Amino acid sequence: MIQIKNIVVQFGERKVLNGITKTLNPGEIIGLVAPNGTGKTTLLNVLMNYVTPNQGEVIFDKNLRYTSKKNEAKIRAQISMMPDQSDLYNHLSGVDHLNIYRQMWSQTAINPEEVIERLNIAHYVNNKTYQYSLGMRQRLCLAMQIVANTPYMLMDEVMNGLDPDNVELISKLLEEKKKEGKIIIIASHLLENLEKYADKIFFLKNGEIIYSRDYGETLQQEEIYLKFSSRNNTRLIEELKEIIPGIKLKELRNERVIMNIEQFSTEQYINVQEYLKKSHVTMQIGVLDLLDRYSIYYI
Amino acid sequence: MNYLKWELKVFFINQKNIILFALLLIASLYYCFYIAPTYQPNEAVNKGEIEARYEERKEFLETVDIENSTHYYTLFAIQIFPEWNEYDKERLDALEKGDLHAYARATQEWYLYAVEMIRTDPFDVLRFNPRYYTYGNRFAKEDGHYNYLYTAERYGHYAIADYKLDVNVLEERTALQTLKRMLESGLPYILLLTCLLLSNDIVMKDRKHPSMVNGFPMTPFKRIILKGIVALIGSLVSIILLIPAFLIIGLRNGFGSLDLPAVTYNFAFFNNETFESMSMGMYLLKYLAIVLLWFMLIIGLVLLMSILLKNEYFNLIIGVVCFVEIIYHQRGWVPKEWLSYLPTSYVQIGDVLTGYKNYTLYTDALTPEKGFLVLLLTVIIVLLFIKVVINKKKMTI
Amino acid sequence: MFTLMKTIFIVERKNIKFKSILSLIILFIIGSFIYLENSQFRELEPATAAEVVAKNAALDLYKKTDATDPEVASAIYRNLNLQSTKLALRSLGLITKDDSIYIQGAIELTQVRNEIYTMNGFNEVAQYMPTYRQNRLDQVFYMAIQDQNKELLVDNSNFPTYIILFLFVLGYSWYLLVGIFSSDILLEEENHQSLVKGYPFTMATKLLAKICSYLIFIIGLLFFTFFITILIASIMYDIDLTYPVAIFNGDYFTIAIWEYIGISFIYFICLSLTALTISIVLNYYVKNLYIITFVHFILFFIMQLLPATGKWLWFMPFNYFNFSTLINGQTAESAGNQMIRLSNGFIILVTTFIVMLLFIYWQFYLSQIRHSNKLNRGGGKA
Repeated sequence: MIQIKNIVVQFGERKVLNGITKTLNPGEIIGLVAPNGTGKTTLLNVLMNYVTPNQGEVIFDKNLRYTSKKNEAKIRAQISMMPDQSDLYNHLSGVDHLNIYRQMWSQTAINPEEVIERLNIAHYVNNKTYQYSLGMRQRLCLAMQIVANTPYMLMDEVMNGLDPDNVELISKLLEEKKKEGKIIIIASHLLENLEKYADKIFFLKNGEIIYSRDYGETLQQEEIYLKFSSRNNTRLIEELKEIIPGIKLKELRNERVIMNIEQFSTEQYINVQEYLKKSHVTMQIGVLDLLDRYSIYYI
Repeated sequence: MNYLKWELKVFFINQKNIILFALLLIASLYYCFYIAPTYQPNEAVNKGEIEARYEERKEFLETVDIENSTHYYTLFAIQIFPEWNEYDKERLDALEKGDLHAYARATQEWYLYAVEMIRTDPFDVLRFNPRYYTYGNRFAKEDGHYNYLYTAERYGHYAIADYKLDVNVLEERTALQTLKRMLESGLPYILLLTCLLLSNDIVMKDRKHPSMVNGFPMTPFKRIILKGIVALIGSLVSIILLIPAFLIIGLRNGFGSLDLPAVTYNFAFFNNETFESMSMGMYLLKYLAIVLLWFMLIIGLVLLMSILLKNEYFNLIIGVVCFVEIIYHQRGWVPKEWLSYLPTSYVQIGDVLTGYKNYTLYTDALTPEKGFLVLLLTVIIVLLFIKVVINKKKMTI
Repeated sequence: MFTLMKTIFIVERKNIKFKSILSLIILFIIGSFIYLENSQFRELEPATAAEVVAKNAALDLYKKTDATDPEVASAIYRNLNLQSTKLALRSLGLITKDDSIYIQGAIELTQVRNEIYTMNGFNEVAQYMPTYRQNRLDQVFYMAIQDQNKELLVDNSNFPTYIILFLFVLGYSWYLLVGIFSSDILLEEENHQSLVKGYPFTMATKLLAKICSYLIFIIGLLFFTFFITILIASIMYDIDLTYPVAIFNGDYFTIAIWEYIGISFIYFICLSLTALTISIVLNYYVKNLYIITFVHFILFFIMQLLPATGKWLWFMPFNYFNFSTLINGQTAESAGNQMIRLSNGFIILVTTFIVMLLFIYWQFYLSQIRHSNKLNRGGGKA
């Protein structure tokens, strides 16, 4: 269990994190969503104690805190962050890297062979890393962390540079790890994938969590929207405004136009649908998905 | 061209290079303010010394009585001192009159006479200037012999000089002469090592951002050569940095003339060697040519090592080529002839140009022309090697 | 900690830096043998001949007078003449190949010479004489040879001379070698931060592991170098581990060559420890490899450039970075302070190492604890 208590991080005047409080439970994958430069990585760094917060604390397990270097070492035996691909040793092979991580986290580590097989990297892992492509490096970095096999795993942009096959492969692996009772925190902006396997999703903005979604809980009543998107959004909006004066609609950054259906009378509702049908536009009716919310929050 | 400009820019904003340039500048200024003024030539213009010797010998010649029992040392002295003292007299008179040309003429005669007398001295009682006989100098006599003839040769040129003579010229204290002296002692090592340190990372720095530089639209060989040119330009800048010190010495002691003699020695057995001179300008030109070759050699080796072994530390080992000579060129032995075909034998460029190297090693194998050819060939071989390695390795840096 | 060292080993094993330092050492070993073959390093014949010439030049400064008459001849002139006879004895010993004559002459010469250093007008003949230190070293050396009935080493193709040459060069360069070699000891990690930073060890453990791994490599390198050179030297020349070597340690005396080897070995380890810790501290403050290397160079050359600093600051470690000039007393001589001696060198290097270690501990460990304590209190309130 990780308890994040009122974390404030300030660089000069700028508050990067402004009182984050959350409790994370074993067996969860947490998606941390935000555009670049909004404190995602800072939060991960606070969890690793690379950045000491100006206020607040993080408590691991029952009451392990970053109060001394000894405790730090103890906590670090439980937590790991995926290395950056640019930090690999060029003169060493992938296997060397895996072995290093196995040795470093000898209490929890699993056999690199298994991981090599599971992640399908056997064909290149014996070469020196300077020959690797971006995706190869990315998979090696993940493999290193999987070998370390710590109860808490932090991953920053884990799916970067991967082809769809590998995204699928890794998603499955992460789910397995989750079932083993690990807490996995993923900072990312690849939303579609997150939605598939994350248990909780937090949106960070202005140093605060502005939206969180727990897929474990049943949804409270959410508003239902009529959504469409096409190349001619502007024209369509103009025309819709003529059909129903005073219509409340919103064009999102992902080029979707959303309208709360509560505002329509049945007649208006049918008119709108007819009109859109006539204009050969695909419509959707439903609650706002992650992509929509992302577009709403980050403008 | 653009690539060259870009590499030059990176080269000159490189922190390490800036530090090196700064250190070189500081060292040269330190030299010109603190070390150059303390220079004390063994063969100085010393009126008091000449006078003391002259008076002493004159007194001896005037008071000595020749009898049957007179010691043969004394007889020898009576034989040789009169002419010798004539020269000293001429020197004194010239100094008195302030006629440095006449002084130079007499001094040349004096030194030639002294060398001849010491060489033919049957009793081994005559000695060169005592400043050569310091403790631990095993080659005092040789040093004296060389320097006497060297001094005679250059004074001969001063005697007919059409540039302005002054004591600083005679004592080799002017800026050009100081430069020459430096070029014949530690300066070549400093220049070569600076060149090595400057060019050390010229290839390796690209490894930090390979995707950026590997894509430049030119062949790897061309890129490597352009890098070499940048390093060469940078190394030449290190020479330019010596100019402030040169100017300061020049303003203090005069700059000297490019017509000043640079004495060269031609080896022959049994003291039949000859001393000649070239002009200072010619000397510096020849020096520059060989230094350029050396720079090219060192940069070439750095480039080659960089693509072969890809490590900055290994490049530093190239510095060894500057010092290999020390282990086989030892005074006291004649080195094997084949050693003169090694480029490392020519690291002391100044001493090779003047022939002093040949003098100390009793050989005629180390000529400037041979040095030039050997170095040129080595550079070509290194360049060919680079070409071959690049073609073979399909190089990525 | 052990696993951490294993990791450092994995990472560094293929690091070309280590190979390059090894190849440098091998080049040095080969070069040292070729050098000795070609040089007149410590050969008695040319040295004696040069001494005769220098002494004659000194005598030339004086008018020839009756040297036995104290009325006419100055003390220094009489001393020089006495030296002449002793030098002649040495030359005779060489010509007749009679060691005992040579040794006798050498001892008597040094005894006569010992007196000249305090005489009036010595400065005028100083450049024709060895310094007091060199003379004393010669004295104790020849006396030891006489006492122990050792043979005189006329030429230089022999084990003791090689070892002296080898340790002289190595002693000159060892600090710089380790300094350069370790100048990126922590910087190297900056390129692999996200990999290394999260290792579950305290900073103190990490640093200790770093120091230990480097130390193991350096000691290995030392062992290799010493072993190879001693092995080759004992094959090429006859091994002789008991031959005396004259050293300075406040006083002048001789030790056996095996002691000399042992002392230098331990001293090199102390030097390595100091260089390593200095590198770490420099790494902490300066993030540029080349600047760090330059600082090492400057530290090493302070003593050569400004010998007078040693007079007052004899306790500063930089006086002790050059083993060769320390053990032959040259450092003490040029600094003008007899406190700069070998035994103080050991003490000061070890002290420096401990102080640096404490400093590092304070820098990397305690300061961070204080920081997080403060943080905790602040966090509690919030």
